[in-house]
Amino acid sequence: MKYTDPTLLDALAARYALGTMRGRARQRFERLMRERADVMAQVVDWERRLEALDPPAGETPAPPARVWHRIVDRLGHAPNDELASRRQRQRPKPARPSAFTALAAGIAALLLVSGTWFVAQQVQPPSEVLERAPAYVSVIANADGADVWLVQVYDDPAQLRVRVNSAPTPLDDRVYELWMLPDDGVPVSLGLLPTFGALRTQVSAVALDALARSANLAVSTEPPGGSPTGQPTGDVVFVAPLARAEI
Amino acid sequence: MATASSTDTKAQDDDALVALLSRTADGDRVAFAELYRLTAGALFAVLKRMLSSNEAAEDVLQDVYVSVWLKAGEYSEQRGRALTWLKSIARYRAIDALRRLGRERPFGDHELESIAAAYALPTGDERKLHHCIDELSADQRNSVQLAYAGGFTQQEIAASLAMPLGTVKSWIRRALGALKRCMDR
Repeated sequence: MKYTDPTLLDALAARYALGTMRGRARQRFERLMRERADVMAQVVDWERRLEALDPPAGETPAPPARVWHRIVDRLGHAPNDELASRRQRQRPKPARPSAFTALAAGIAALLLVSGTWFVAQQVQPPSEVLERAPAYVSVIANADGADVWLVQVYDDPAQLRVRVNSAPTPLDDRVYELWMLPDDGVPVSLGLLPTFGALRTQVSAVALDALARSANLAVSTEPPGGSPTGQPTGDVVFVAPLARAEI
Repeated sequence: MATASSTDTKAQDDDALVALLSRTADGDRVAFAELYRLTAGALFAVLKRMLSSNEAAEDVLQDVYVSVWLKAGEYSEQRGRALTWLKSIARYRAIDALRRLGRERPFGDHELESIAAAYALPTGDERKLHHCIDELSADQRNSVQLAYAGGFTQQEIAASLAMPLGTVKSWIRRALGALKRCMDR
């Protein structure tokens, strides 16, 4: 069949986009779309027009977390190697061997690394902190038993470190907030939780005091920026025991 | 004007998705996760309507995002809005899945209800169907929505509405013609 008649092509593009073209005709048409930009353009026009048929936009519940986990598994994206991934998949650049370009590449790599760390909200800790054992540890696991967050608190200087071990369920326009549950029953925020990578941040003396009186940590879902009231406002999605180091 | 400002918001949202797609094409997993967070709900809704099984919808959704990760570089503005492009990938994958798996039941009230529910608006709801859809006759609108949102073949639609195939084909053909004239105005 010769695909030259514009009216015929338009009708086929419409049937393809609507989905009523099936079977081998559909496969043949897909080949044609790949070969001919004008045919592809007609399909794109129909996809745009057919959007008028979409139901009015309403709430669309997020799919279950397992879908995202399976995608990540299938793609071989381990949760903690964002940097490695960026390095690996950087597009190869034509090499020009000069001291200047080498220097520029070095600076670019540094910028890339610092950029990623900035995104992950990581703050380089004083080096002596690295060697010490944490004063408090909590492992927040999901219903399937997979560790989502490892929470560690160091004292003197006080520092909170959170590492994402497996990606939490993506939220639509919400964030995860971490809470201490001290014995007086009034939760105290420890800040927002990262959804990938790691976070290191300072902890106030007030927070350390609340931590000393807490047996559990909790995670709630909150609007972007965190709870507007200073108390959990959304669903409490995790509660995990807080272990303290024996001194 | 209210419509203009909502169109602007839509355009801005889409610019954000275009940027995320472009970073995804460069191998940025953070951008990919954000793209998923922003779009997976809409695509999942499309797939649930077409496949009428949550399990099948989850499987196809997985395939869609795996292929988005691999093919994000193929997106360009010539391919339309980013969200339209993503939804089309999902719809076409669902059509492939319907062909591969067949429908569990040939066609049933359950499917019809799920399509009808998707279009039903709560009373007093300000959201509206597109004005171009209002211009279609009820038969044209039903048959074209069953094809588009339900992934039904013309034969399935004819069988379920107990109408001759030729009649359904002509409803769909006229609906498409009317839609084109209205949308291109």
